[in-house]
Amino acid sequence: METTEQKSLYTHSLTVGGIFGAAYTIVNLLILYIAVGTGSTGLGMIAVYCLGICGISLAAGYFATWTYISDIMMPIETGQGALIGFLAGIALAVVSFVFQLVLNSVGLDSQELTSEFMMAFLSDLGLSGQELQDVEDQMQSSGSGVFSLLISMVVLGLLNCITGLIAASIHSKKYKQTDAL
Amino acid sequence: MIPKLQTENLAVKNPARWFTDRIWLLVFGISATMFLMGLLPAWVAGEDSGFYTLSVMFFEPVCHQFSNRCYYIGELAMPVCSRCFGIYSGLFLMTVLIPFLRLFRLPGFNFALFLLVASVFLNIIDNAGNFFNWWSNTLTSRYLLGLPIGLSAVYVIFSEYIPGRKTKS
Repeated sequence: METTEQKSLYTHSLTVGGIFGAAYTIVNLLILYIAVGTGSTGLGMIAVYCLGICGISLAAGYFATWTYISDIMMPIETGQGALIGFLAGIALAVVSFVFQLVLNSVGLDSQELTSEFMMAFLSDLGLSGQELQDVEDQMQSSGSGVFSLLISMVVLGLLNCITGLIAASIHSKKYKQTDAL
Repeated sequence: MIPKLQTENLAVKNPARWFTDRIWLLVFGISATMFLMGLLPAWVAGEDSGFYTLSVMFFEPVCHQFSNRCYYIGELAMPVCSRCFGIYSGLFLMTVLIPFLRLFRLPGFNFALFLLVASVFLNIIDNAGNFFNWWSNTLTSRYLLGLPIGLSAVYVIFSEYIPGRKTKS
């Protein structure tokens, strides 16, 4: 029978992962729309893209663990932080995938925008027509669908494991010190 | 048989005890996977190989993968940018080193956290500099800025077991 703590652990990780998954999709689309729409496809937008997408995708595990520790007000084992982070990463991947499907159905295709963004950026750098075609072919061959979702779940789960471990190390300290007193 | 994670495993001086610890094995597995998936496909596989395509899909959710911001091995771009590869290199390197660093007296948690926060901020500033066209960075500078993030992240995770804290020999 699951304890309240275990239920709270799954709830936190899946909820925070879901929220970050939605944010990941929306921010991704927004940045791409702004970049392609305004013609700002230079290094600056890559910096924004990098921070936005990396930041959101890796923060899910950290925030899920942090909110869980704050909720139970007790230190947790480092391994629990890894589990929370892993679950949050998986939830992020799944929710992001579902969101993209929904947005695709209303005509907001992030893959097409990403392709357009990359082509514009590489064209500004002076790549030849053949080189641009090679890049476009590579992007199209990278695939989508369920297999892509499975890969996302693995990589986001693994990386959020690390951020969950970091959050467990940082935020459990406060409650360990309290316990020691 | 892998023993259950116990604090004592990581608090001992013998590095060999670390290699049987579940948390260390987990971090090692993740960091090795990320590092090798970034390095190997461009090195051993051809552009048309399934392994290379898989590696591109692997890093797609977390990296922009623009080829001019990735290291090239031969004529093939790595599937991950130089900054991200620096982070994964740091993760892997520190995970391998930390059982041996444990033998030395090193600064503990506060220093580790400071390093992590400082290295993240440095990367934000570097990105901001690019955005406002104050400077343009290079592959190597991005790699070197990513490296301390990975190093300090693992250091934070295991800092509790660095000398200066509760230890058992």
